[in-house]
Amino acid sequence: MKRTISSAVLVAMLLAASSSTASELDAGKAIFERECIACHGVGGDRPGTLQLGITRGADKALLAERSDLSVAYIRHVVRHGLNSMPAFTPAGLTDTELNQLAAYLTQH
Amino acid sequence: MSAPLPPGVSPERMHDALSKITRLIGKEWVFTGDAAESYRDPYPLNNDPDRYRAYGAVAPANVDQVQEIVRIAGEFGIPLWPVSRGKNFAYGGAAPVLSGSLVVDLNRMNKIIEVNEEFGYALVEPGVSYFQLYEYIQEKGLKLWLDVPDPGWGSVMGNALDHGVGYTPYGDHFAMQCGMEVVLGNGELVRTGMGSMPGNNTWQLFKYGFGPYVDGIFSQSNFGIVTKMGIWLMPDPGGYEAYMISFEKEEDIEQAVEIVRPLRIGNIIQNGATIRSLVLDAAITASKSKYTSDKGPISDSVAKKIMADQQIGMWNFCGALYGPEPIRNTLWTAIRDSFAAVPGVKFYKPEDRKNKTDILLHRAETMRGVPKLTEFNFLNWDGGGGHVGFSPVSPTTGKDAINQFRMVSDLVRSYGWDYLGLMAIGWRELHHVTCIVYDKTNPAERDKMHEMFNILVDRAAAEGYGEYRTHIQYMDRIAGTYNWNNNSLMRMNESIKDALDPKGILAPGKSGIWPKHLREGRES
Repeated sequence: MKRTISSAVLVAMLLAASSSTASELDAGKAIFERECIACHGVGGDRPGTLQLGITRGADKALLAERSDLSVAYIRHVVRHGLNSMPAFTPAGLTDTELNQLAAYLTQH
Repeated sequence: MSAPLPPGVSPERMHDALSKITRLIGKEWVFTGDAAESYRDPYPLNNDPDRYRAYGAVAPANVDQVQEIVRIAGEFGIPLWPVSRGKNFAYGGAAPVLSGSLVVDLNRMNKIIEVNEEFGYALVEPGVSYFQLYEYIQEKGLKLWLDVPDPGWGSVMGNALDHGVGYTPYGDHFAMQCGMEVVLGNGELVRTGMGSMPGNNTWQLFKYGFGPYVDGIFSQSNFGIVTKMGIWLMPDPGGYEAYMISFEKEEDIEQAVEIVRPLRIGNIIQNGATIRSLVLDAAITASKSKYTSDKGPISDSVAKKIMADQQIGMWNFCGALYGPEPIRNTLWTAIRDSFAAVPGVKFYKPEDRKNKTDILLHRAETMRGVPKLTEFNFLNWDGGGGHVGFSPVSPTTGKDAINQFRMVSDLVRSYGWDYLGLMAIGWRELHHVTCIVYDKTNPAERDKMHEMFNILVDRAAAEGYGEYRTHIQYMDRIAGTYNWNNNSLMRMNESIKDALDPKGILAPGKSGIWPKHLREGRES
């Protein structure tokens, strides 16, 4: 018997997928606010924002507004550090959390 | 490149130990190979990538697991390097002194066990950060203030154990510690002070209990792994006001510190205040390129340009007043009248500042216990990303302050760097902390920094100034300067080490203390 997916099932699957993504993005946003915002938030008193503004230009200063970041790049920088930013250990920021963070920062 | 093994440990032995630990805590909490890269020193001061490199890391979830990891390490002779959150970055981060060690990463043990508003204390696990504890206090609406160091993401416990300082009246963090739980080198669990008495209710209220007071030997040491610690929190003082007093000339530090001493000892200056140098303060809101394209230390004319632009002086004293308004007004009158004797002195309150991002506005938050990372804007001053702290202690006298300032700043500038320093005012002593920012990606800069750091240590020791804390690369060297009576203090520390950790597995080399089997031939 040929298997078919009804429209109702397809819609349900898509909703489930988008719900999962939304939940992942929410989790990533919470992680960004917990782990990253002290350096990468809005304002001249944030070392990461200041540094990116100097080295990459004002349009690249705010991580949460960037559209040029990839998941692989975020994973690498978080685990290895970059410039003055130190690495985050996998006990302090788990791989699951890192994936959620990367999803949030690459959503644009 | 594969990670180094510890001395005398075969690959099979390490494998067997890690297998046992994996069965204990789960494979997702054992990190080797690329997964352990984040445990490297983020700001290395040498060019050997295998020096100060961990073999891997393990992350227990609770005290039972810490005890069992210690027992397994003892069975297989594996050196452990415990870290609370591993954020002690300018001092080596999570990296061990002894290459091949296993980092015991306590990040997962992040329970705030108790916060007591009535008595003003918290009981925390090692993984609790200042950000986390601050948020907890705010969410619960507790009338308590935290005291924070500059790195708000650091561990409350780890900072106190490493003798870190903050900027409220509770700024001496280890002095505010009360009661510990410690895993010893044989895996046994000990509670200190009143915590050793079953059924007691004063563990976080009275430090000393009965008998010898031992908490101090678990700070900056390798005699045990601290798994719980009490920390006193300041009650909301009922009023608060920050201020800044700026001085025009570098030599003003001598007169300013003479004025500070009686005010601080008499508690007219209530908090862990700081006198901060021009470039350190300028770097909080701007980079060097805003003022000059010249290489090397800034010139006098550039210094004047910065002072005018940022409303700051060659030195800037950041302090705060705590308590109801009449108390604050009385204290401010005494402080202001005292400092008015310095020619050219300027007084500021937050409302006097013209820029939205500003040194006083930043310090005003830190001095009321708001955790931040803003201070690390100084890393952007001249690029390069690396930094190390050189932190000798001296009496709070003008003579010592200017002597220390000249000794350090002359050398730092002769090596081509700007002087970014502060004098943190303790009760009777100054911590003269100089942050030296270097290009961590440049091998020649690392060598240059290492050469200069050794000169600084020697010159300071020759003047009787000892460092209170240091990077893992200099622990032996600094320990070697505390050598009165044929190194009697170190010999005592080694006796304690051999007694409490007979297999020598806990943090070999921490603060220059080595276990017996690694001590032979190490004496320099």
